[in-house]
Amino acid sequence: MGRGGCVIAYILLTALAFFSLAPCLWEVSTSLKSLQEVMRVPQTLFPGDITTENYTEIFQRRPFDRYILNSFVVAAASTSIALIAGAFAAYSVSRMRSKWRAWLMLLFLLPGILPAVLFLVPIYRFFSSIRLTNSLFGLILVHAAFHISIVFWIMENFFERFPRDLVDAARLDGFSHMGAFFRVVLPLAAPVAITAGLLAFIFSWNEFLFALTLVTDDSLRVATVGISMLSGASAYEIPWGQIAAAVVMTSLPVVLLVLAFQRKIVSGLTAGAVKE
Amino acid sequence: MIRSHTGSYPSDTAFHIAILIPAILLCAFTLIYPALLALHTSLAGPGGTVSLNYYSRVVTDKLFLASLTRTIIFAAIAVFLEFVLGFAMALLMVMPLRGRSFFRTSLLVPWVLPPAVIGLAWRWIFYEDYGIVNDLILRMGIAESPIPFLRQPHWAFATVVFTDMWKTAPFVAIILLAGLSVIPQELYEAAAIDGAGRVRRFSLITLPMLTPYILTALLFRSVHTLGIFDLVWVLTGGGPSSSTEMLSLYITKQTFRFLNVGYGAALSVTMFVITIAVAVIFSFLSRRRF
Amino acid sequence: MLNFGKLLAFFLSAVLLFNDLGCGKQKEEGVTISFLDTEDKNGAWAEVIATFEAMNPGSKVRLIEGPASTDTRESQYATSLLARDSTYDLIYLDVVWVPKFSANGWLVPLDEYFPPALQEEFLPGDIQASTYAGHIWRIPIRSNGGMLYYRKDLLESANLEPPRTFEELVDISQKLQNPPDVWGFVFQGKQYEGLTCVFLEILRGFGGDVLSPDGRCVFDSPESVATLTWMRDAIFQERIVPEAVRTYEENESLVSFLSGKSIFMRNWPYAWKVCNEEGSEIGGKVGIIPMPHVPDQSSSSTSGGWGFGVSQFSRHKDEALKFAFHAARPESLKVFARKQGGAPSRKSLYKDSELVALFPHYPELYEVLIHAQPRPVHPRYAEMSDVLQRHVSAVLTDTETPEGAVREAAGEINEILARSS
Repeated sequence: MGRGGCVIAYILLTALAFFSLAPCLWEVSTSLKSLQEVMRVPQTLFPGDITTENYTEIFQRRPFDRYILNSFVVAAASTSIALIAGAFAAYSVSRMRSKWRAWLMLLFLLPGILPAVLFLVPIYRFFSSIRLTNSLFGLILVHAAFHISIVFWIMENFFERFPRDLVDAARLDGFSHMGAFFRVVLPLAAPVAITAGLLAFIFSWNEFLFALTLVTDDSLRVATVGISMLSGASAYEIPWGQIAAAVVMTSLPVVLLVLAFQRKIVSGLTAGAVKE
Repeated sequence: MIRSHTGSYPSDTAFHIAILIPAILLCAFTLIYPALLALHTSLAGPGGTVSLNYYSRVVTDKLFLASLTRTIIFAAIAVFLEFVLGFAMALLMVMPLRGRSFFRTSLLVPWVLPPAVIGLAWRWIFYEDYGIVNDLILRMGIAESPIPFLRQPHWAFATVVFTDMWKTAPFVAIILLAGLSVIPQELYEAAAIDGAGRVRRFSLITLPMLTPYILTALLFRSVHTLGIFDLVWVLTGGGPSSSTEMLSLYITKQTFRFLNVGYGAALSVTMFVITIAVAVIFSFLSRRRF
Repeated sequence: MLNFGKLLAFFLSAVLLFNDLGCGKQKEEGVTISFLDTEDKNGAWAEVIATFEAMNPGSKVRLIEGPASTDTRESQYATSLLARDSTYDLIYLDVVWVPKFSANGWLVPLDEYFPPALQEEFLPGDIQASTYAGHIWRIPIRSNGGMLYYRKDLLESANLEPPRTFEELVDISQKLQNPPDVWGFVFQGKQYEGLTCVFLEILRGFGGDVLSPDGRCVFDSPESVATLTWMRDAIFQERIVPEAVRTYEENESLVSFLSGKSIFMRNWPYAWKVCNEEGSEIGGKVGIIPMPHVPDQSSSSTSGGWGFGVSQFSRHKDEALKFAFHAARPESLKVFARKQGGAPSRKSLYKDSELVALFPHYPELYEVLIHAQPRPVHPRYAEMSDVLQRHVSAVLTDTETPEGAVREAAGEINEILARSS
């Protein structure tokens, strides 16, 4: 590639990076502005007087700390459940060579491919008939079931290439099945499991549809839903500054995860695509 | 039935079945059973009989058909644009440039942000009265009066397409990037020696090698775009004048606003079938070629 | 290297820790009543709740501040009630939800606690809209009804009387307007619930209606066609209504009126306070009258408004009812009127000296609200309104003829009626 090509590539990449990040930066700027400045035309690029009033508002007037805590609980719990169940299932299917294999693959992969909204009405109806609505536990179960796909996808791919001899050797050394799985297989699978867990955690943190529908109690709401409740007294007095503050608070965890684990996330997403 | 691959330990089979149970139970309880229940509800006729009443209503429901058409048009445009932008991103990101990691991370950001949350950010950016886009447009004299981004049906549709493109092009880029990075460099060098130009090398090597990745990306994006909810719900709520009322919003409206729960179940099943059909078409395409 | 077990242990302990810290259900002594409304921006709810809690030690009332969109709040209530959750003890009901919510068995009938003698004290439109299938389900708090705002100053200087008929409305508009700077008449023309409200007022002013008192569809009538023809012609023939009205909700119409760009505006009571606020260009120059009608018919106002119903799934129905009645006391209603600017639901308050001093238009407002009529009282009203919105909107964009729209809409409404029987 020539020098000119390089320069053009840099220009384009910088433009794309700006395009990707600009909305986030604009939200950060808005969140630090006073109510008057937010509504000032022409808009100021940077806040004139930096104020944290929007942040204090969302934590004082609204239980936003509770929302974030709930998000964290749901994401962490559903990720843990999905990791255990998904890793088991992936290992099992990867060792299987029968006609059931294809069906099981389909069962575990399909929920990740299909849009979640297809299951909304069915799950809502079923859960409300057995009183599992309006509880974080119900939401955790739903998230976990959907995460199984991503965990299964990534880990099955890994286990397929996992050397069987290692397991056999461990068995000869006197390990039980479970022992061999936990002491030999899983430690080696840890990096892949972390990748899967990261993705599951992000999906759960971001999930909105089920969180909106299955949970109605304000003290059980998660952040993505709590933020959509912030819309002012009428449609014409939208508290944009507070919304921006909430957007920043809700986005921060996932942005930090991307900053820390960009490589892992990319590799996790491409695991399936690389497969063929 | 299930033969263990190692063969030497008969109880392996039992172990392998046992560890399948948690995942199967979880899926059965939260996904399969409710889905079957919904299928049952959607087939319920008067007095406990089986009937296709709800389905005959589905196929004659003008609003459903309008929403389906709208969703398909939306998916076609949005996926096309995402694909073009995502492809461009991937081609740029695969270049061995310094600072590559920074660019990869930046471009990835839109995709990991919560759609329901980032929808609010865009609503603010496109806000008619003092949103930044209209502010700039007016200041630069591009238009005389603010553009009704979310108030006028066509604009609202375009705004949703744009936002969805912004959000999901990185996903396409990542998948294609994976494909691009496994193409052996020698192929290009050999082709270059044979005198193939940039365009020929792209169409002879890059595209064919990339096809499975392209299909994977298109499959995921098409199916998910057909089911889009969060972003639209937050940006427009389906309005104005139903101009952005996608299938998922129509189903939730029938279920939770009109309280036609049985009909909502029938609509969900119908959408399920349509989605599966799209998925099957893509997997058929990818199988035929490889 | 981080191992799998440690990772899990981390997640699980995090869950347990946070569950302990903040997410277990609070165990408080006493009873807490919850309901959902928009943000309590001007502190009216806070004041009413504070007086209730002072009078009833041990009881707490929690307002959950929800989204501004009425449809979204309705869905939130419905989602919770459909699952039989006890999240909300009280339902702050828009009038049009009453049939749907009560037909689904979500509300407690209040006949016993809210006898006719007590109902007498409230505006009849609000009571009518709170009644369904022979029972009363709702205690009205905030009344609402559509009316015509007009520029008193402009009409007076031209020596014209405010219009009583549609014809007069067109005449005066054409005399005084100067499009595109000043238009004759603006209303809520966007495809949404507000359009149904306006449309019903005009339709009833023409002598038509959607449902008969016994619940049959009577929409396929010459009156309906005349109504739609008048609305279309007002835009395309007489040109007294700007085409942009098709994107207007309440606020857009109000902005047009406030900035002197229109002479007549159909709107709700809240607009009066805004028109006469400090800094308003048209302060003191605004009059209100009932909506116009055709010569041999009478004015109609679509009733709106909010009030409390008690959830069937509440665990504290008695306390909930107590608070609902507390919020409907004259003292509380005055707080709402002063702070929110809405119209109170009790008749006596329109003669209250304190309020009339603040809001001199109360006598005229009373004349409008006393004649307010509910929207079609039916559990499937939301679907019917959806039908009306689509077809009226199609006529306003000239993509459907009035005759065609009436035929189609009547057909669809009949289908809805057939499905629900």
